[in-house]
Amino acid sequence: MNPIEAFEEYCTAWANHDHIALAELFTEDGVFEASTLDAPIVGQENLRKQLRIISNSHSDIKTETRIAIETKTGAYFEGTYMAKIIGTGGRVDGAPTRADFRYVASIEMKDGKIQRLHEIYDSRPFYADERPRMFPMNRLSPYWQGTVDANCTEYSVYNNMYFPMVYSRAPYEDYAALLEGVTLWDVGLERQTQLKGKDALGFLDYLSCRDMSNMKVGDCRYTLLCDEEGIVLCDPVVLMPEEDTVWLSHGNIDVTLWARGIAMSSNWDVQVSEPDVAPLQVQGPKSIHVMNEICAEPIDELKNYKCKITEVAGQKAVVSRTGWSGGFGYEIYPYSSEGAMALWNDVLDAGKPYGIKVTGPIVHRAVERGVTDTGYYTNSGMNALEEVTASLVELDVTSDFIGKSALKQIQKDGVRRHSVGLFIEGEVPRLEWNWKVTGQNKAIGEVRWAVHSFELNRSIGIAIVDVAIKLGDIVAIEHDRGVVKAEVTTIPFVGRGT
Amino acid sequence: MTIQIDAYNAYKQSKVYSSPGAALLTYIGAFESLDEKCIATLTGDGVLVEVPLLKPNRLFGYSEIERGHKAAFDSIENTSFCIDDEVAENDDAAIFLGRVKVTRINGNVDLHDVGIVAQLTDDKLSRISVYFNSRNIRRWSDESIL
Repeated sequence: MNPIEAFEEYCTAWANHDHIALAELFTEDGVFEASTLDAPIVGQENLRKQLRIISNSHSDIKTETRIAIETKTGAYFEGTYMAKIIGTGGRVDGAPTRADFRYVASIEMKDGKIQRLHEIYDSRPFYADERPRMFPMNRLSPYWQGTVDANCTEYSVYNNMYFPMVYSRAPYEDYAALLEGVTLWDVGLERQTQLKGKDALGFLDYLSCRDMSNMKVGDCRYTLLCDEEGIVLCDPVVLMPEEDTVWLSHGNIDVTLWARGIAMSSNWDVQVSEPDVAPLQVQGPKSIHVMNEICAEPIDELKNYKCKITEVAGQKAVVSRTGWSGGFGYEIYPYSSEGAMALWNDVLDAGKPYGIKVTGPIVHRAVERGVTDTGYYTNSGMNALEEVTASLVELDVTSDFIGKSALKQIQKDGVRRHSVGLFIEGEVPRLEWNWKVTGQNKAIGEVRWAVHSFELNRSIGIAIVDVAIKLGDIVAIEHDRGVVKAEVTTIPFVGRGT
Repeated sequence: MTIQIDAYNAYKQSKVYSSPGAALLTYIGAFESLDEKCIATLTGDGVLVEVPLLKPNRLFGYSEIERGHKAAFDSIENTSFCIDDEVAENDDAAIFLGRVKVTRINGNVDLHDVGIVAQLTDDKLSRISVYFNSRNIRRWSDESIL
C-alpha cells in the first residue's frame, strides 16, 4: 500500500467507525499525533483503544481530501473532517453540535503500513469560545483554577457555588474515561452540613425519612430529607467520620440553615454548621490506583458506602467509597480548603499514569444507572414516596421524622405519582427544563432527566408520572423539537455495579 | 541562512516565485522577518490567507492581509519556523508541517505544531492556509494573538 492509498483507507475507516481497521493500518509501533490529543498514541493496541473512543464520540462522519502530495518517505494531505458530536443534545437553536474541521496531515510509511500519522487542526471552533463570566454573588470552588486550566467551558450554580459541568471534549470521551479509566470532578459545591454533639445521630434521624439511628463511625448512607408535608428537600449522602459527628453531603438546598433553624427551636444537643470541606470525586475503575498512591494508608479494604479519616496528599481528609457515578469510585473530603489546589494537583499527578481526565458529573452514566439528584426549589415538588428511591422511606420505624405523618397519610390515601424510566424516540435535545408528558391528551407528568445512553445507544429519560402509567405504556413527550413518543420502562436502565 | 530566508530574499529582489513551495517558503521567511508588506505583496488582491490566530482569521486582499499580519506582528518580538522534513509540493500546491516558536513582546514564549498550505490556481498563488491549534492559547480572547 502506498501512502496515498493508506490515507484513503484511513479516511474510509473513520467514516465506517471501524477502529479495528484504523489501528491495523498502522505498524505494530505506529504513532498517531493530533491536535486534540494530550500525547501521541503509540502502538496498535493503544490505537485500537483510543481510536474507538474518538470514533464512538462522533456520528455521520464524512471526510474529504483536498490536496494529496507524495514525498520520498510518505505523503502530505490537506482535507476536511465533518461529524456530529454524539450526546450533547445539540445547540440552543436545535442544530447538532459538530466537530467539523480542516486539517493538514503527514504520513510516514514502513513496509506498506503507517509508521507515523500527524494531523494538525484548530480545535477551538468545536467548543465554546471562552469560559462564562463569573459573578461574585456566587462562590468559586477552591478548585476553580484547576477547572479553568482543564478547559471547563460550562458552569452551573449549585449551593451558591460555581459547578464545573462540561469540559472541551465530546461527552463519550468523558463517559469512556469513567467506565474504563479514572476521572476527577470538582464537587466543592457539594456542601456538608455538620451535626456535632451527643444527639447528632438522633437529630439526623429526625431530619431523615430513612432510619439512620444505627449508623456507626465509618458508615455512609444515602437518604431523603423532607419538609413537614413530605416533599423532598434533597437526597444527601450522610457520612459518619467520627463519634457524635455526621456530615450531610447535600444537594442544591441550604440544609445547614434548615437544620440549624430546627435545632434552635428544639432541645436537641447538637451544633449545626457548614465546615470548610470541599470534596473531590475520583471516579472510575482505576480510581483505586490513584487513591492508593495519594492516601497515607492503603484504601483497598474500604467497602462501598464506608468512609475513613486518613491523610490524602499530606492533608487530613475523610475518604469515602461513594460518588455520583453509580459505579466504582471515591470521594475525598479534606478538612480544610486551604490546601485545595495542592490536593487537586497531587491527584492529577497520581492519575497521570492512568490517563486521569478532569470531567464534570457524567450525567449520561448517572441516568443510565438511575442515579438522580433532587433539589427542593428545582426538580422536587414531589413527596418521598414518588421518588426513584421511594423504597428507602421507612414509615414503620418507631421514631418520628419530619414529614412522617404527612407521608403516612399519603400512603393511606394512595400515592398518585411514581418515577419511571422512558425509552424516548429519536435524539433528545438538551433538557433545560422539565418536559411535559401527556397520555390520552392530558398532562400526566414531567420528564426530569433525559440523555443519550451510550450503552444502549438510544435516548432515555426519567419522569414522574401518574401512577396509572405502567411498564410498557406509550406516552407522548413535548420537548423543544416537538412531540415524540416514549415507552415506559424500569429504572435503572443498566445494571448497577460496585 | 535558512531556506525560507533565502526564498524571502529572492522574492524581495525579483517579486516572483518559481513554484508553490517557493511561495510557501517566502511566506514563512516574511513571517519570520515580521514583514507584513512583503506578505501583502506576495499574496496580493486575489489571494485568501487563513490564519487561526488573526482577527479576522480569513484575510482577503492586499490591505486586509497587511493589516491583519501587522496586528499580529505588533505583539511579537521574534518568531522562527522549524520544518519537520521537507516542503512537499506538486504543480498546484505545497504543504509544510513543522513547529513555530513565537516570542511575544510581553516575554511569553510559545512553541506549537504548525502546518501551512500554499495553493496555486492558473499558476498564481490563490490561497495560503495556516493550521494551528489555537484553543489552548486563545480561550479568553478573539483579538489577534501570536
